[in-house]
Amino acid sequence: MKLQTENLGKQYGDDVWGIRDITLELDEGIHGLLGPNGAGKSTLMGILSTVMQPTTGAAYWNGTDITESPDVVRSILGYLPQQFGTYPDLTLEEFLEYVAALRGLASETASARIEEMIELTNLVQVRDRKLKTFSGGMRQRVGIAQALLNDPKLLIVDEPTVGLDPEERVRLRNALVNTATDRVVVLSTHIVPDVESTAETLAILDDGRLVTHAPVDDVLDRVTGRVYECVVPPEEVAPLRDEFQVCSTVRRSDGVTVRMIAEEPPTETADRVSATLEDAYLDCVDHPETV
Amino acid sequence: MRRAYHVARADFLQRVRSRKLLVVLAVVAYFGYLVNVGGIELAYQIERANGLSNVHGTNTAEFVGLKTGLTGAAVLLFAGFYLMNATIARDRQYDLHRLVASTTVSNWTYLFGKWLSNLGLAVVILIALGVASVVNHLVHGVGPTEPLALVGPLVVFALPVGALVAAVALFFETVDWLDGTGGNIGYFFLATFALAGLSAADGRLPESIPMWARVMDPLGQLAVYELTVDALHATVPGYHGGPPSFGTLRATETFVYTGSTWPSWIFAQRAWLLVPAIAILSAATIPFDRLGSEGESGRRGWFGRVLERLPYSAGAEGHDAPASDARPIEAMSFTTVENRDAGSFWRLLRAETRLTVRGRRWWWYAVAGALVLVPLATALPFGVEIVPVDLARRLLVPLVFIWPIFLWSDLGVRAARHRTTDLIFTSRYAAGQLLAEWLGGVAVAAGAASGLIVLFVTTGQTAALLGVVSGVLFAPSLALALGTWSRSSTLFEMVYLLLWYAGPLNGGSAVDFVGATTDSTAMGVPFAFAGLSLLLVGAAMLRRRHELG
Repeated sequence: MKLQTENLGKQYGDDVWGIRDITLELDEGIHGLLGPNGAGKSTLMGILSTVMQPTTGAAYWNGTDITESPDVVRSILGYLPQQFGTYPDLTLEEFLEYVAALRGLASETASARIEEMIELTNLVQVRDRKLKTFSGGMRQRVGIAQALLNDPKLLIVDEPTVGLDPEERVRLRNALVNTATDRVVVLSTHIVPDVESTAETLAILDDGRLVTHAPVDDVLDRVTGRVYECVVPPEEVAPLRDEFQVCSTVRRSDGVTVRMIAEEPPTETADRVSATLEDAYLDCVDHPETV
Repeated sequence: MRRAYHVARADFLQRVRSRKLLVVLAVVAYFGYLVNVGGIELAYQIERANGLSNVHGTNTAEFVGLKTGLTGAAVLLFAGFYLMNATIARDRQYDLHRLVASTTVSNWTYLFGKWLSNLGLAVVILIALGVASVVNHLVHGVGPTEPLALVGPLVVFALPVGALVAAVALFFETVDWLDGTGGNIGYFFLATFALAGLSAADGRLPESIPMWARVMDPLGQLAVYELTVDALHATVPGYHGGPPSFGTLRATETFVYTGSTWPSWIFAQRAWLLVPAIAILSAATIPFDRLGSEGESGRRGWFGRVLERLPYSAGAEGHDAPASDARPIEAMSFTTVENRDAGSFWRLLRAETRLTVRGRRWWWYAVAGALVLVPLATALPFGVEIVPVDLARRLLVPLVFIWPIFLWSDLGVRAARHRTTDLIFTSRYAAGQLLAEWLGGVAVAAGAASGLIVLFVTTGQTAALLGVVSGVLFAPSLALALGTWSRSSTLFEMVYLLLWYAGPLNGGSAVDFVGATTDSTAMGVPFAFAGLSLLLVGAAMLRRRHELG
């Protein structure tokens, strides 16, 4: 199974491009998609899920152009859009029955999968309740249940953990990892730890362009050995910001802990610390020319 | 005041940047053409030896101005409400209402701003009509083109109507049970009823028309009567039959109106419309719930509150098992899906029918049940004739084909309204889903008409039966087509109500799509509408195909 894009572009206005020249190759496994707001993640996902037509380029599923033959993807797709809606007067079970019919599942298979997805998303006790009584987090889990319902070969999920409490977030991440075998999963999120703990490769978009697409470890290697932390007086934070890529600041009683990326220790008291994917992501976005 | 201005400005900008407004303005501009070429006419009906004759004014700037003014007032009275009535809903759709609710902006200021925005929309519509009228008078008019004479009546007649309708639309939005299809239907009758006072002027000259009738004249037809009657008398001496008719009239004789002095009572009467406008706007602050849907549970009424206490729907934010109590994912096994092409259209149809029927209030189902049971009881073999068959045809048929409008108005817009479009469009059954949605609407229509169908079958009323079948097909088809193309239920509600009012309710044979009159079935009107239904479904499918790319 392979999802590919070739010079994919989407133009919204005369000089406004949602994405431009995106060339990707995604094999089985989880692929994280990161980028700042407006980077083009949702546009890319819209095209991959066939709800949007590209202006330039093409996308292929196992060699078949999905812009020409969208049904190739639609038959094996699980999709959780960022703006996910439900029918408020249906119960959870009725809604999943509806999705199963849309996704082409046979009755018996649908019944079995509905049971499993309700348990997977921990919604057993509310299965007979109308969706309008669900909280935001519960609705998000309904979205995840419907996306996984047809055991999709291609799963595209946009911000799946938004609105979930930490415990449910971990459970969802486990669910994605445990069900990712034999399928291509495209996971778009702002929450870097979600990608760090689940994804095999990471694609970073910025301003509609692909900054990098590489295994998570390779992206992490970019900054390994270059991340430092030190505690400085508040007035010294600004000069450090001017000179180095500051990843985070935490105010403490004895000053401000500054985490930054530098080739050499930025101050005499700076300690080298373990790099995280968030450090690497910030480095990629702020210095795309070095990727 | 500054805050109200900014509420109005933001809302108004959102409106004028909509493509739908361009369509509305194009239609209004077309009216500006029609008033200049006689497509929209203002004419007195005179009794001649060979029957009634329509006498209209020649298209001088002054006469076209009066027609333009009345046209603007009529457009705002009948269509303005439907164009204006989503101003609060728009804020709720984009969660702006929470932002507003968390500020110190008072309900009055917020609603006043919204009213100004509604009024701004009315002004834009009137400007389009005014410009079109002036331009078309240059091309088609008689005599010199006087911009003031052409546009002045718009300000006097139509603008106050805009102010009043702007307030009414806002009020309807703030009252829970008036917000939506029920309110849209209710307003249609309210607007129609508002013209009822004109009948008091029949057979009278302007000076003998009672004061209350003048006060209650929303469009300004009595003012036009007073302004033009002297010019008419020059051609038709002694006329005293009442105000001129206004609409698409075929006129055969003419009189010349080149303007006259406007009596001051006309300005006072038009300005008076602002009084109910302000009163209604003030009244809207009472039911207005600035928290929107968050306050829903408090607005459901006693029946809703009882239902809320039942175990089925207990609590809006019920609890499920904490994640820690759930079975570990590693311990779960999942069914493998091999066949993803086994979707059953019947399951889809069942789901769509369920979606169509669900979510109404108890009284809707009670009335729908009565509309089925009454004709059924009439059809029973033991002779309990609750309603004679003829009366059933004239009374129950129109009722059966208006009541489900609450359900049909969802067709074609449901997915967009509930943000499930992506879910449907990424499936392989997007076209089948639309067909199932339509058939769900047809099933509802057939269910609502089932009592009548049994009655007409058992009494051998074949023509009436065909009319009902036509209605069963046509109503959901129109809803689906207009819903998919306009992405709103309002257009369907407006068009369907007009058709239903003119045809099934008032016996206009040419548009009696349900065969409530014997004339219409004799003319084959239901057959034509049944055929039109197929075209409408085709149009909806075409739209879906276009959307799928």
